[in-house]
Amino acid sequence: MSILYWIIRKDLRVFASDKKGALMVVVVPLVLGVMMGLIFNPGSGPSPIELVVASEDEGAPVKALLARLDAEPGLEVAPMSVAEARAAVAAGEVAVALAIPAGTSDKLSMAAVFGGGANKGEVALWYDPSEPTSADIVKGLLTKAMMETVFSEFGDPSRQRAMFDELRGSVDAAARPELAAFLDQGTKFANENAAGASGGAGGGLEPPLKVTSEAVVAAGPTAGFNSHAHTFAGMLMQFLLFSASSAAKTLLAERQSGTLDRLRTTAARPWQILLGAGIANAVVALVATVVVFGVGIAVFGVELRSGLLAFGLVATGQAALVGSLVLLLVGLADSDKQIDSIGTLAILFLCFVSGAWVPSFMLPEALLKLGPAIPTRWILDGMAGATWRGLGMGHAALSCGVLLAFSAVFATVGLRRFRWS
Amino acid sequence: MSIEIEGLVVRYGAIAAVSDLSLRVPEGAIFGLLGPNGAGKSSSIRCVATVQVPTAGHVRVGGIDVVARPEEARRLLGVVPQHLALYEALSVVENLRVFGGCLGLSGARLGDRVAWGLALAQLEAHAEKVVGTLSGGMKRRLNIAVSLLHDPRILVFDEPTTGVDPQSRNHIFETVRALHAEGRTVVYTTHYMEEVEALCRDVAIVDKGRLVACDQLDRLVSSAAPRAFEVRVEGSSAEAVRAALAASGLHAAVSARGRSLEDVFLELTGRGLRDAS
Repeated sequence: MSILYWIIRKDLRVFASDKKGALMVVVVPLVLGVMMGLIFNPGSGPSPIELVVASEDEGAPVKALLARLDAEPGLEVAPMSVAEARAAVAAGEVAVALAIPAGTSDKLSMAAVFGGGANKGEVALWYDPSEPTSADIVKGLLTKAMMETVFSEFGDPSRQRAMFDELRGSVDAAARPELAAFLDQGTKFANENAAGASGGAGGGLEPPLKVTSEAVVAAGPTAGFNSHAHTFAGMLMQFLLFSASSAAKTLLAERQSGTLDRLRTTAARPWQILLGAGIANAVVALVATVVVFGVGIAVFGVELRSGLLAFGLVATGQAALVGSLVLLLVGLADSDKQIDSIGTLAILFLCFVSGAWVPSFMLPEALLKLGPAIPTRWILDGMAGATWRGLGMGHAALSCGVLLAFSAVFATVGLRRFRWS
Repeated sequence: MSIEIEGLVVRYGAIAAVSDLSLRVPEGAIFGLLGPNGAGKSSSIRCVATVQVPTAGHVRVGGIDVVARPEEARRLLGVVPQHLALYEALSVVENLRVFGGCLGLSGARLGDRVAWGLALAQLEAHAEKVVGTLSGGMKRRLNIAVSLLHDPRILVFDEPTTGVDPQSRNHIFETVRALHAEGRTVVYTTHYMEEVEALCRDVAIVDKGRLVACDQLDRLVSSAAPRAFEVRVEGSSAEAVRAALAASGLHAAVSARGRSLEDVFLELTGRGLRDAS
C-alpha cells in the first residue's frame, strides 16, 4: 500500500509541476460546458433569425402580417428592397428573405384559406442553402402569421355576419340577384361557423398564400450548392487547426532535444527558425486544402464558382492562419500538456463560434456579434464564397486579407513570447 | 583565434550559474574545461556559442564580441552540443544538408562539405539511413560532423563522448587531434579526466560558477609535490627491477602492471569503428 501511495504521490506531483497545464484540465471542460450551456439554455434561447422582408404591397393585411412576424420573438424583421434582399441572401449575409409582391393583400383572404385555386397569391422565401433549418423555421412562423392574420380579420363569425350584412345593405338585390344570393350563402356560412360546424371546400384549411421557397446563391442556379463544399471546408479547417497544435508540440520537442539551440549557432536568425516552422506548416495546410478540395471537385462535384484564383486566395489565408497558430501556441504554452489544453480550448472555441458545429442561429447573439473578430469565421465564409456561393474575387480577397492580418498578429505574438530555453 | 571570457556572470532568476568567470583560451590550443555538474561549464559554453546572453561580462571569439556581433562570431565557431541535436526522422545526409544550408553553405560548396562531413563521421555507407536507426556512436560522430561543416576555426566540444563505445571515442579523439593539427583552437569539456589528459595541453577547472584553476596540464599536475613516481620498464620482471633499484640504493615497492582494461578491450575487439545498425 505504501508503494502505491508513493507512486500515486509521484504522479500527482509530476502532474501538478506544470501548473498552467494542470489548471487547463479544469478550465477547458469548464469553458466548453459554458459554451454548450449557452446553446441549450432555455432561458437565453437561440438568437432570433434575421428575416429580411422585401414587400411591394402596402395593404393593411400585409402590414398586419408583417406586424405579426415582427412580434415573433424568434424573428428579427428588417425591411429591404427586393434586389437588396436577394443579394443579401446570396452573399450569405442573411439566412432568409421574404419577398411579397404587389397585390398580395387582396389575396390574403379567408377564401384562400379554404382553397384559393388558380388565383391564390404567392410569396417567395429566399434562403441561404447552407442554412435550410432557418428557412424551415421562418416558413413555419410565416404560415402561422398568415393564418392568424386571416382569422383575426375574417375568422370571427360575428364579424363575418356583420361584414355580409354590411355588404347586403349596399347591394340592390333585385338588380344583382346573384350577388345577393352569394351574400346569403356567406351569412349561412358564418352561422354554421358560429354553430361549430366545419365548412369550406373539402373541409380542410390551408395557408392563404402559397409560399415558394428558393435557395439563393450569387453565382446563378442553386444547383451550385454542394453540401460537400460546405462540410469539406468545415472539417478541413478543424483538422488543420488540430494539426497546428500537433506541430506546436513538435517545435517544443525540438527545443527540448537541442536542435533549436543548434540552429541558433548557425547563420539562421531566431525569427527565421520560428517563422520557417510556421511557413512549413502553412505549406502543409495549403497542400492539404488543395488535395481535399481536389477530391471534392473530382468526386463530389464541388465547384470553384469564384474561380481558381479566388479559391487560392482563401486557401492561402487559411494556410497562413494555420502556420501562425503554430507560432502562437508555442509562444503561449511551455509544455506539451499546456499545448494540449490551450490548443484544444482555442480550437474548439474557434470552431464553435465560427458555426462549424452548430447552425449559427443556435449561437447566442453575443457570440454571433463576435463574428468578424473570429478568424475561423472568415475561413468558412471565404471558402463558401469561393466555392458554392460564388461571391467572386472581391470577397475572396477580403477574406484572404483579413486572415493574413490575423496571421500577422498571431505570428508576432508567438515570436515575441517564445522562450528558447 | 582565441576565446576571451571576462567577468562572465550568468543568472537564472536568483540562481547564479556563472559568477565572475574570466579565462583565456589561447589560439591553437586544445583547452580542457573541467568541472563537476552544475559548475557552470554549460552556461559558459552557451554564452560562447551565442545562444545565451550573459547577465554581465564579455565573451570574445577571435576578438569578436559574441553579444554585439553574434553572426560574425558564429562564422568562426563550431559548437558540438552535449545532446544529440539531430533530426532523428531525417537521413544522415539530409541532416548534413539542412544544417549546412543553415550555416550558409550552398551549391557545390554545400555538396563538397556534406561529402566531407560524411567522410569525417565515417558514415558514407549510411548516408541515406534515418538518423533514428543509427547507433549511439554513429550519432555522436554525425553530431560532430554537423558542427564542422562551415569549416570553423574555433571548435567547442561539450562532452562529446557521452555514451559512446571505446571505438567511437577513439575516433572522436583522433578527429579532435586532426582538427587541432590543422591549426584550429579547440575547447573540450568533459567529466572524464583521462580524456583531458589524453587530449589537452591547457586546462581550466571551474566550480560553483568560478574559475578555480587555469594552467597548462603538466604545470597544473606538477604544482603539487609528487608523492610517488611511476617508472615504466618494459620486457623485464618485477624481481629484476626491484633488484636493480636496490643495487642503486633505492628501496621501492615494485609491482607489475599490465595493460589497462581499455588497452585489452581495444586489442581484442580492434580499433575499427563498429557500426552494426
